[in-house]
Amino acid sequence: MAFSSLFRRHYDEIFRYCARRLPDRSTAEDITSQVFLKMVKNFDSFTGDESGFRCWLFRIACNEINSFYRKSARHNKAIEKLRQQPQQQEQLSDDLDHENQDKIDFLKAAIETLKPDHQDIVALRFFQGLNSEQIGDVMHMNPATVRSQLSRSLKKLKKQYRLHRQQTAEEIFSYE
Amino acid sequence: MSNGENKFEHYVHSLRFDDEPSKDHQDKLEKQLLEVYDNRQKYGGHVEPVAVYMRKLAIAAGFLIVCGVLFWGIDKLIITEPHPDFIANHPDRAKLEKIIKDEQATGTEKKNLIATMSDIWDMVGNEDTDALVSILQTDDIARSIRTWAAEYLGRFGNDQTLTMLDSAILKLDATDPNDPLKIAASEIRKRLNRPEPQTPPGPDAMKAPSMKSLDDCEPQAD
Repeated sequence: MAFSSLFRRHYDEIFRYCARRLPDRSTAEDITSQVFLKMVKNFDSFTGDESGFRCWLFRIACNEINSFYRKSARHNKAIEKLRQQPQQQEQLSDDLDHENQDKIDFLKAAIETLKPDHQDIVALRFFQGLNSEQIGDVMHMNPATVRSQLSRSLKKLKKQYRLHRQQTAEEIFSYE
Repeated sequence: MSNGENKFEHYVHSLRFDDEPSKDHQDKLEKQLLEVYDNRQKYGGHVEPVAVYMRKLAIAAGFLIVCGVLFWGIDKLIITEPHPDFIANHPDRAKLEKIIKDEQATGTEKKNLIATMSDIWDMVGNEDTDALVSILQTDDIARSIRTWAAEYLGRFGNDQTLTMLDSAILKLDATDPNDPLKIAASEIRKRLNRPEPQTPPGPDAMKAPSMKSLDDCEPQAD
């Protein structure tokens, strides 16, 4: 069935995208489920091609993730976290070391301080590797607008890193 | 792509995210989606998963329960909770407070007592003689409250009220002069200048003369 094969083709990347943006695996699984349930509900009304389908899925995922953060008010917690010392003990998966997890937590928290649209752009660009045109398709934006917003978002992220990790900021962002 | 963007991309790629998809979750989700998809195909795209229906049902039931509780609460408040200043602003404040004290009413009992007083006060305000006569006959209501009600009924009761009161007195065989029914009747009589009722003849008055006395009436033999 076309529906099944589409699901299998896109499940991994949608799950990975959710897992990279959301706080934990279980939330990522929940949001992934919601993305595909929405996809099923509106499946018959979709008339685009395969690439359009992928953009559509990412659009749903972005909306669901933003909705999650709005509802859970994690956004405020993330900002608060950035104000505190970055080195915090977290429960770790067996295969992820402390330093790596700390960097990931900080990165997620820093991204959460951006505007929802900018969060989507940064995540699609750096977590999924989409280019400006593809992001523009997902976000219904002009690629030039995507580029300018991406640039602004990176400056803000750099500022966050400078404030809290001055020694590593220049290693991560070499421009300016 | 700027150099900064490039470097940041490398940095992100150097991180090891916990993002390995779970086959178990994928299989379960696929099964669930196929069910939803099939149902939509069968029923014209309007069927939702059972879980969604259950959630909607639970929300509706919850809403109804909340409405019921709210309605019950308001209803109870209106019925049993008199105006909070009822006693404080009442002309018989001292008397009413004494009644509450004598009855040793606290908590709900006190609330019910005040509610009864408030109801009676409404009857007095409406000069509802029928209701007040009925109240005076109700043993469930504290006698002190009925006496208080009787005093007011005595102030505006008419001949018809008197008839009702006399009938109730006879029916309940109320002989105590301090009975609320008697108090009300007495007050009305005084106000309307009506005579006190005649005490009904005692049972002895109806007795037949004894045989001995009949014997006494027989003509004496010469």
